[in-house]
Amino acid sequence: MKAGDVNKPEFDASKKKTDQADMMPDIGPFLEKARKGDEDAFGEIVRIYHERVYSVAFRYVQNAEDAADLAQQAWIRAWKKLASFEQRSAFFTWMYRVVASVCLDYLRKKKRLAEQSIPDGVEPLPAIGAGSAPSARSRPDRELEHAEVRTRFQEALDELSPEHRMAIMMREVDGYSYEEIARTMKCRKGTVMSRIFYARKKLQERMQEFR
Amino acid sequence: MKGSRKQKALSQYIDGELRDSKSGRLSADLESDASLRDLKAEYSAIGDQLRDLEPSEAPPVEKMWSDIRREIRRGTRQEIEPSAFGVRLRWAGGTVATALVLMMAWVVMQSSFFGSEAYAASAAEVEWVETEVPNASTMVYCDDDTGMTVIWILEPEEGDANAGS
Repeated sequence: MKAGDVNKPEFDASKKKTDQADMMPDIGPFLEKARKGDEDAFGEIVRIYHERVYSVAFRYVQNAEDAADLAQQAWIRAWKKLASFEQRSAFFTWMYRVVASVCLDYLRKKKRLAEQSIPDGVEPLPAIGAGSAPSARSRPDRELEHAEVRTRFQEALDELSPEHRMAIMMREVDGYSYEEIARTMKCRKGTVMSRIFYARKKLQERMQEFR
Repeated sequence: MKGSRKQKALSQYIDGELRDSKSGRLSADLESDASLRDLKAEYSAIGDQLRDLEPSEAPPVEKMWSDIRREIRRGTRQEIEPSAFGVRLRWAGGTVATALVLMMAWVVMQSSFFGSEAYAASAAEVEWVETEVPNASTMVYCDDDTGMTVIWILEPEEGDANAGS
């Protein structure tokens, strides 16, 4: 790290991927028709935002099949709620909230089911590669080592609660402000701050164990 | 600032969410504290790793749109057409309502019979008469078959309050 970088906060507005929404084609006419129940117009909106909606869902669940299902659910929910979209924010900002809410519901449900399936007093099975981590680090194959780090990071990410995972993803990947995250997650700004800090701390500790 | 407070502040600092007054203090801490600098680097690396998570190629949009459209139409149909359970419920409701109407009609018919002239006439032919016999009830009526006047005296026998003669 360069000495001059020390005083510079990491926040960079250009990191914000959601700003791309403003560069998307004008969907105003489609939106007007879709709000009146025009399915074809809604189909056009789906075509324009399909990849972005899918990638948001994938980021949260890290599974292609689940992400496709959740993206579909999000679009269906969006269709039902389209009348409530007041166009005060960009369409994708609103749509992001819909996808995030669908994913959060799914992750919470998945976590509950996982907790129910582990009987009391039974330790969960060790994660893949947990025992072989040190030897893997000594391998000359850097590609494999990189893959191990990624797997480990993914495992650490999976260990976070849905709320912590979503908060840090929204901040680090999508570049949302604490205020925007709080609005999407329907919680206080202070809660967002503490969720992001906890997520960072937890991920940092888990990755430190691996080193 | 204490350890965990400093870490929390660092997290906000990285996100550009730390107030200016605190931001200045943390910058000074970063200059002097090597472990805090290391932590900042680690937190930043976490952000890089999150952004580097492998993306997945989205499924074909036309396939997805046809699935979405089907679901939308199914939802609309369900709003218009009742479900199979709803149809059954409606049938059950209809049957119960019909049964109730029939029962009420029967009750009305019965009550109109008891209120009819025939019933009133037959009731009028029976007469209760006071007698000197203690605790006895005397009934007088005209028997339609024989044309004779029948007098019934109902008096309680010993140990039986309802016996007749």
